[in-house]
Amino acid sequence: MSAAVEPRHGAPAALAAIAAEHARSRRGRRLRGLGKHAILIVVTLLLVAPFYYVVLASFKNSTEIFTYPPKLLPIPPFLGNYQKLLGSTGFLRWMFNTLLVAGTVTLVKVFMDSMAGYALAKLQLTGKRLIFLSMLILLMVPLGALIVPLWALVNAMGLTNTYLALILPPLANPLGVFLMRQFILGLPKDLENAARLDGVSEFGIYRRIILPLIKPGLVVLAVIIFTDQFMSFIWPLIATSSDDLQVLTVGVAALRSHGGADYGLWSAAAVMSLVPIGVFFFVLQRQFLARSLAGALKQ
Amino acid sequence: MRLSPGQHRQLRRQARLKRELTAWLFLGPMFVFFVVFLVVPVVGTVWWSTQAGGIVGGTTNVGLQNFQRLPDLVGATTAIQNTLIFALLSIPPILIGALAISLVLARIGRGAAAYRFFVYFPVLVPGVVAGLIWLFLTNVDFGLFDNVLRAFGVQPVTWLGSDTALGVLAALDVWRNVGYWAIFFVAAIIGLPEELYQAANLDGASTAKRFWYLTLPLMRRILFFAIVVSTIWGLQVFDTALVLTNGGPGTATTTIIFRVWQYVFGTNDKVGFAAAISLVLIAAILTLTLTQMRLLRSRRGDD
Amino acid sequence: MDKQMERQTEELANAYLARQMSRRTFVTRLLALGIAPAAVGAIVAACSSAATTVPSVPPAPSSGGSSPAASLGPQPSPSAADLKGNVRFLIGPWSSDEVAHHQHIAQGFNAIYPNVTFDFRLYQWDTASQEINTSLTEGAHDIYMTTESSYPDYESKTGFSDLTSKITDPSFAGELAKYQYMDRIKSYGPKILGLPISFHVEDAMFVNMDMVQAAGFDEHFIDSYPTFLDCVTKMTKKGQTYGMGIGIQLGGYAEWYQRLRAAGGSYLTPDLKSPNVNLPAVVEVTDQMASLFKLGIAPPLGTYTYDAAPAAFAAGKMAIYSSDLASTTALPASVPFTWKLLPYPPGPVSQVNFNDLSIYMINSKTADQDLAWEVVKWWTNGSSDAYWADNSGTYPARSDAATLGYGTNSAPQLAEALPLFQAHAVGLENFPQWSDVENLAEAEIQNCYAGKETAAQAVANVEKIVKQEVGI
Repeated sequence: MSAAVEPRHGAPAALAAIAAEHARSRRGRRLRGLGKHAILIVVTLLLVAPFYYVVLASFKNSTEIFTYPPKLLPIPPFLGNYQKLLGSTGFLRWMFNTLLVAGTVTLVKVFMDSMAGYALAKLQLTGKRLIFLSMLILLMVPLGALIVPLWALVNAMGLTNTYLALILPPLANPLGVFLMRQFILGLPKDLENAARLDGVSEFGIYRRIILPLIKPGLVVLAVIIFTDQFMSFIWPLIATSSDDLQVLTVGVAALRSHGGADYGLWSAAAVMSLVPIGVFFFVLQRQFLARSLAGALKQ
Repeated sequence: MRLSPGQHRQLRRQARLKRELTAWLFLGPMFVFFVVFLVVPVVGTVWWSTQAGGIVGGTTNVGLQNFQRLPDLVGATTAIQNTLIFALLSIPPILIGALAISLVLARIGRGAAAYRFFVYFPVLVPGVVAGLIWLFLTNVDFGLFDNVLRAFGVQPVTWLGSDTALGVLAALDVWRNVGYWAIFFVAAIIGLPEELYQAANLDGASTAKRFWYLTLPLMRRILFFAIVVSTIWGLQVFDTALVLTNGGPGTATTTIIFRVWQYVFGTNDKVGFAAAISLVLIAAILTLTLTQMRLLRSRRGDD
Repeated sequence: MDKQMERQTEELANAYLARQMSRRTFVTRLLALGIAPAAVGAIVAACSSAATTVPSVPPAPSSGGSSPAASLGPQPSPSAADLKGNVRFLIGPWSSDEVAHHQHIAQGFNAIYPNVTFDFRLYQWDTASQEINTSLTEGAHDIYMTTESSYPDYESKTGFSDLTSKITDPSFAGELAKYQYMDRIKSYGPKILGLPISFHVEDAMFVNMDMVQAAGFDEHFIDSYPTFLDCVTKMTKKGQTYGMGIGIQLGGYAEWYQRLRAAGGSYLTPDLKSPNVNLPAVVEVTDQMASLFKLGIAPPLGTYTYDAAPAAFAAGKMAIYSSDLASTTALPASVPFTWKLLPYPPGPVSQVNFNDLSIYMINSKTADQDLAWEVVKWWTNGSSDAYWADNSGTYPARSDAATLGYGTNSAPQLAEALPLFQAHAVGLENFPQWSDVENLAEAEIQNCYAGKETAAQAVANVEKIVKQEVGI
């Protein structure tokens, strides 16, 4: 059974390896290679410099931050900013809320989207094309443009100021269905046809055949949803006003105007906000970068 | 046993019904959310745009008055203008920069993973945090930009001033998004047919020629897609503007979504205007999406 | 605790134990002595347990009645056991330790009513109206610290509880007399939605007097525009010091408005029927302000934000900056020069200070309205007010705050400048859209400061904004 699948997956990789081998044998590669590295190092430095500058500031006290010329190494490091952030703001609670909401949305959505994607890819359904087209058309409409009716709706449902207000509206985003449909359409038909002949139910096919095959796609989708959710700001800002439900982005934005400029605290907040997503990124790097492929699949 | 045509038809209908039902069981959960929290709000925007009043206190129907008054509304046109300028300032550098980076990054051997990590990392920064980080770059007293200028003996610049703030906001967007499109293009370039390049190499084509006559035409659709999507994203800028400049100085960085948010919750009884402006934005985004779908479909035949 | 305080505490405790005063009065008196709330709580607890050991006396605190101290206990108070629950506050960030100040006030309250707990959430000034509006409809908080600028709007809607009957109740009359500016709150409409805690000036000038003297002037440089201009020009040192920082207050709040009023204009005519903005005198003063930027006297907009201005002033980068009084709490502890607070728009008749109250109001969705009312009364009583205003750079709204510790922690410049400010104070105009107009108008005027519009265009646009917002 698996033999029918493996070569299809393996082929491009094999081809790429051959191509890479060819590329390696080209003349002048060393010199050109050095030039390429030089360009990439410059680009990387430009992109990373802002982070370094903020990390640096977060380990300085308020007078050191203003000192010119600036110290380029935080030695000895000043930890007061982090103590203040973790000790006297709700930072950990905000982080918890963000992880809870983003985690829930991701879990529910991966499940629902893959099921809907399966229906749109494989099952018979009147009006399937219309549904798919409407999802495609509304794919790009941003939450920010819908805050009037959405808030009115959620408020009428009595959901404002609950976790549900944060979790439910993002579930409407059709991107995941679209991606899942593409992934499932790309799968070979033989397996599920065989299963169908054996009398396996559609749910059985979905769970035992489709899901294992689209696992890489599910990871990509989970990564996309989680990061989008991690970054979302305008909806949580509006949908909740109680302290207990504050998410990271809203809490960090609020730090900015609480009585005077506390640059040390702000820098510590910026750094700490990036820790979870940074770790997540580091662990799932390959899948993370596959997000770009997912973008290509939007077509 | 043979079935009569009538029985046959009935069985077929039953089977069909069962199949439909199964399909809806799969599609249903997602579809409900899609309708309730996306289709209904989009349609709802049309209704709200004909209303005058506040989001809570009740509204009255004013027909198309909101749209008629839109061009005259102090602030609405500025917001649309600012957003368009922002898109024009940010998108070309993002896409050209991303393409340049991707050309190098796609064909690099050693260290590729590390480069990709760093190039992509700014993409993961939430807009609010990005705004906070850029406060440290643009500060007049200790910001990175002015400290670099000082090191070269140049007078410090007020980066978040009225003339420059929108540009800084665009620069922030370039920083945050160039990696996204760079990695996207890398994926596209790796997917290009290697044989064509080998043929070109045999013909002795220069790097520039290969790019101009091979890579660029092959990536035409991908590039078009990137332009449309990044435009749509550019039209939505809000959180960085709120944190970095709070829409100012004056109205220099007040964008469309910023104004919508102000009209709905910041000021009284402007919810109709907010919806009207939203509708203009939604219409623009839908037009872009549809144009793209049509153009890409019509070209599907030729490759 | 010094000897005298100890003696007074003992006298009070004896009076309390002898049932001569209510528990509430006892706590208020102890706080008035300057004893920390935590210590007050301990004293009251000790006395109460002592009281319960006397079997013949019922343990509940008396309701004041005819005891000699009854004048301090304004009206019958619920007993300690009656009040319980959690009260959620949404408050403005006046100083960097805002929540700590409220926790301090809460400790005093808990000394009487131990079964009440509190949550404090701060809104941001940038997003305050959105946060208050959504919280109000979502029922997310019980008590709100609002600013007077939005009061006419709240008056026209239903989100806040109407406290008229509670506030005008005869039993509250004695207390009510101690709230200054109550008449202003009443003037906005038939309902009374809250009690004031403070008033403050938007904007005042923070003046580096050393630089003024070095330029050859004294504090009378503000008496006319030409002397003011002369002085700020002389204090401007290119690349080093700006003579006068304007447009750094958040969104320029109330800054140009003072100029408008000083020049004889207002958003609306007194009958609130037509705009009163586009006057030649208004264009002229707007142009004067814009010229400060053109001459390089004012730092370009965006150079110093509201947050960063105090530090820049302390470092001598601006000789004067205009901001609200809360900025006094953000100034470094030791400023290396003499500084003064002076009324902001310079000129002879022109020193109009926009004066804004902070008010506590109750969400109409709050279930336990009586508890919320008790809390609001406590938060706006003399000692709470003295403590809060003293730590937030504002002036207390309570007339008795001065005798209850106001002025121990705040910058002495505040008290010194008060008579100057009061002489020229104006409030806002009474129409619900005032704060919307104000926000949009100041942004429009800043476009003129940035050289994107002429003063005449900007003023004409503000008039358009007034018409569009008010709907005339």
